[in-house]
Amino acid sequence: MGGAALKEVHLPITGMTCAACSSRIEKGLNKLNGVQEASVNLALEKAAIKYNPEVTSVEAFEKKIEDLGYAVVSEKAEFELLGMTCAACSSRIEKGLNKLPGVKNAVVNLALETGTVEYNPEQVSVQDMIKKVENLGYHAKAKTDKDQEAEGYREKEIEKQKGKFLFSLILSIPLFWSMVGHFEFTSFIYVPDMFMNSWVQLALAAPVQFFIGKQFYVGAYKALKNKSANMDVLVALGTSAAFFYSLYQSLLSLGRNGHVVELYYETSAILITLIILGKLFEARAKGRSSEAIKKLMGLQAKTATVLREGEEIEIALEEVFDGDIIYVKPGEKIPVDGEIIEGQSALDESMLTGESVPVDKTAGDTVIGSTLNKNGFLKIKATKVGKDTALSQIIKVVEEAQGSKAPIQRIADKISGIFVPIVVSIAVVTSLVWYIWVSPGNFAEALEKLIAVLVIACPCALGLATPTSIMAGSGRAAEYGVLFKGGEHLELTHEITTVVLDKTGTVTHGKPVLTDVIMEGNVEESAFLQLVGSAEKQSEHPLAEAIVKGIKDKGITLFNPQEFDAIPGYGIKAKVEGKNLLVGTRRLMEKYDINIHSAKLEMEKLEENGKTAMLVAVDGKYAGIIAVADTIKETSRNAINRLKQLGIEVIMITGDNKRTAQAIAEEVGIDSAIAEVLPEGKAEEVIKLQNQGKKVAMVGDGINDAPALAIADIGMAIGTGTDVAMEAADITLMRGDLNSIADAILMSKKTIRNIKQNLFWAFAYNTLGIPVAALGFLAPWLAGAAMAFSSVSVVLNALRLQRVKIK
Amino acid sequence: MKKWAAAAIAYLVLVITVYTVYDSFWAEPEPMPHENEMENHR
Repeated sequence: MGGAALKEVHLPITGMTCAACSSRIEKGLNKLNGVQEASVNLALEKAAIKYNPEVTSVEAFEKKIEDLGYAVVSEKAEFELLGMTCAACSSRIEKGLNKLPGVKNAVVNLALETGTVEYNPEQVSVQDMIKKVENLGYHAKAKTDKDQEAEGYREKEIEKQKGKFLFSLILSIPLFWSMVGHFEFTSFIYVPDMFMNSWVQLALAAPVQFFIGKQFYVGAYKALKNKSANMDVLVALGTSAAFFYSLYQSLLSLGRNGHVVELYYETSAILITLIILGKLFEARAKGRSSEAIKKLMGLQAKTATVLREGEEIEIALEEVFDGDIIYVKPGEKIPVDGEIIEGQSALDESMLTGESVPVDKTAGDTVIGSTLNKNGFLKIKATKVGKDTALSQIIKVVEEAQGSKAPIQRIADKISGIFVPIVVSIAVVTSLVWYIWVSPGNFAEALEKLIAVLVIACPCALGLATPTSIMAGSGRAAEYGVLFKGGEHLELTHEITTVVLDKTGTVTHGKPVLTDVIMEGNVEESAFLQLVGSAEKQSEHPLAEAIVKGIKDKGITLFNPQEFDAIPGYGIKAKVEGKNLLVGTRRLMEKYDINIHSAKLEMEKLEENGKTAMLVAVDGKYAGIIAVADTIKETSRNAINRLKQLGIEVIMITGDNKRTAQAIAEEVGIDSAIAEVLPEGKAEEVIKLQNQGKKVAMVGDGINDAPALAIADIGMAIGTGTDVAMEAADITLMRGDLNSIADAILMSKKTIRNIKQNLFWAFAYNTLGIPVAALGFLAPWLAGAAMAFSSVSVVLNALRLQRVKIK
Repeated sequence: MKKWAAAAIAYLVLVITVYTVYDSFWAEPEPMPHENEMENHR
């Protein structure tokens, strides 16, 4: 790939009808030069493409998709444009916008002072466009909300399908009525003579076949043009066979008063009506499965009050930029991520962290967009806007997970890719067998079997089985605060046998407090603490922060160290006021040959109580002990109990010494603790467990957990932790609560069970349906109803996951 | 959606009207009996 950084783009696609379509687009994209990996999700109607931007471009993907007979959906944004004086201005803005990557077409209307931009939201944002216009020296204001646009597109499509369904239903009712008269058990029902007339039937069936059914012909044509076959081919073949055979019979009857025996107009019309009904249900259900995303998007504030040119003005969220000063009144939502520059308040962050107790924040603290300002007036400086906010990142993770493929889906994809040609062959063989052997010379019967086989075998249910479950499952998990990064992780999590928990920040709050100070000899406590506090001042380790905070709380002022060196896993080495200080573990003291014999008893006592004791040496001599203790999360014990009940082995891993580790492990009910592990050793411990044949999930929050998170079968990052950990992990647990581990495992189990049910039904339906139809036990219209029902049942089964309770 | 329904109903009415007009003026009187047709279909 030429060593260039790979890019990833997500393109919304329209026109796919079944798994054969999605696999065709996937194949087409993967064949393009410069594409490393492309995957197409049928349920989400999206393609995710990893590519080398030096070799290929998004335009090439769009062209390929269009060549294959589908279209890339773009969104539209409208702007009010101010500051234009002549046509040169409008064309300048137009050119400028058209140059932005992701913009397909920008049109500026000088007279109306408006601009309309067609764009791919995955590549460019409304903010980027406004920025571009502002850079050109004009002012732009967004007129519409992109979510409403996207929503509108889907709604419109559903409305159109509803209209089409009604149209074909009204014309199919008389045809259905005429069919009722054919059966012995319903022959008592009166059928008007006119509906038995072949020309009336033709007049009713033709608009359904060619006007409503046009979409199947178009789809089939595009598929065949690209040398592949999809569900449209089967539907078009089946209904056309019925329609044209009937037309042939009608023509033969010319001069015979219009009454013909072998007519199948009703079969083709009812089939199309039912298939459209099925698609309608499917579209509605698909819409519901993205509810989780809608809920998350709903958390966002719609407007923000910002300071612009000395004035406080209310603007749309899209128009907020980094560095903007924002005012947030009590009761309002924080619009974007930022830093408080004035004021203090309690913020309700429960929507993101699940922590129900409001968090007190003051100047200098960071705030997260979409959290609720409870009681104070805040002045905030925006630091992250648009796609970069924490909430947008969460939405992105959920969307990507919903759009990704679980390995289990690949089987279904492979099968549905080769399904159509096989089915057409079976259908032809079936009709030949009927025509030659079973009912010799009876073309009508042979045709009926052909249609039934073609229709019953559509692999729609097979294509929908996995992606709809993944969508619903990952969406529901997100509501529980569990963010799966991809379908494969959702699938793998249920196989976990062992959970390794990092101690600090995971089992405990990770915010230790200073508890004990023990000094050697007659040293004044404040002088001792001043030295230790000054030495630790520059350390970013949570233990150091606790020590510094504890010392500062005692009213002791600290110096700046002249020298400072952090030794990971050991402690620190610093020079304060000309004195050389060492603060850290026994190993640190051993490393510098400090005699700590007199500290041994005290250390053991502190550690037995679960405290972390650090030894202090001044100028090469042992000087005392300083101890901190981390508090255990209230929920940890219950969460670990839940994991044990699921039959999962729970292990705690920590850099602390054995005694401290054991004390904490016992308190929360963990049977096994691996202590004194250096940061880089965590990954090794995980590998050791994996070598024993265990499927390991690592749960951590810090930068030092990242390698272990990446190496474990499943890495789970505590959402309150660092970005690095979340980046390395496969699952982010938004609520810093260990109960989410069991939730993730249960959600995975339930989703996998749901996928298996769906695949079973879809396979069973196709494998049973084909012989039943071939043997002549299934009328073509019943085959159509069954096919529509199969897709709907699969989607409805997946939607059950949305209401699943895991506690 | 209403437009689609109205269009379908209008078309249906048109087909029925055309048939009725044709049937009352030009059609020959004896249509094929239902029973025979059902028999054939089975």
